[in-house]
Amino acid sequence: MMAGEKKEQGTSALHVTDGNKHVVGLKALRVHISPDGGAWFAQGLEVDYAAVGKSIDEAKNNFKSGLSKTIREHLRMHGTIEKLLQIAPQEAWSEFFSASEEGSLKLSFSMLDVHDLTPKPETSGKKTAFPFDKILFVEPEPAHVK
Amino acid sequence: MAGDQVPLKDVLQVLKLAPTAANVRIAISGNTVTLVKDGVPEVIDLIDPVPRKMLRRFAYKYGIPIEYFFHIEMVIRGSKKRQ
Repeated sequence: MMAGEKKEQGTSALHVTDGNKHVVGLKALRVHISPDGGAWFAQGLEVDYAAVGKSIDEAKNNFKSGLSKTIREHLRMHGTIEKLLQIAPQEAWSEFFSASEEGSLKLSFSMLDVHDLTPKPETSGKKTAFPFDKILFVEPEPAHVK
Repeated sequence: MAGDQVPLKDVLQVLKLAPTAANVRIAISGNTVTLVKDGVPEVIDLIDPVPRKMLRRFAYKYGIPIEYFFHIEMVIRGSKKRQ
């Protein structure tokens, strides 16, 4: 590498599992956050996942939490994240490369997520919540005095 | 096409009622939507109103025509006919 040359970080994904416990990592995933009407749209590039928010921060948070929930669903259904690792469509890449720096945000996103899919123990038929969905408060009627 | 955004309640109603391909399943819990196509799940937290780019994503990825979101009456009419 030449002096002063910027080293490009490649995107990578990691999945380690021990029984029902899974650790999933994503490193240097490119995310393009662009305005959409009065909201913001966050589109992952190396992983085709998208989220929306009313502000840039909300779009980032929804991207992170939604992707985490999506990873959990993949692990629950397939035990792997292989099917998650699909790149975004051409349209998203074109928009990313043609977008100006002022109007949108290009981020490098990394996350490390731990998922424990161990089935929760049954409470042996005992219900922990009330067996009804409303509590009605009844005012006592004043006693009648003769 | 009117507007760039669609109220969340209309989007959720379209997702509930619109006919989807046999390989697409949709579950809704609050403002969180889980879409599964060919066994590939995706969980999305929506906001109110839902911006157009997300609707376009529903269209290209899950085959729900974008016009449905802007003309919800088409979906309701179709759903009543099927019943």
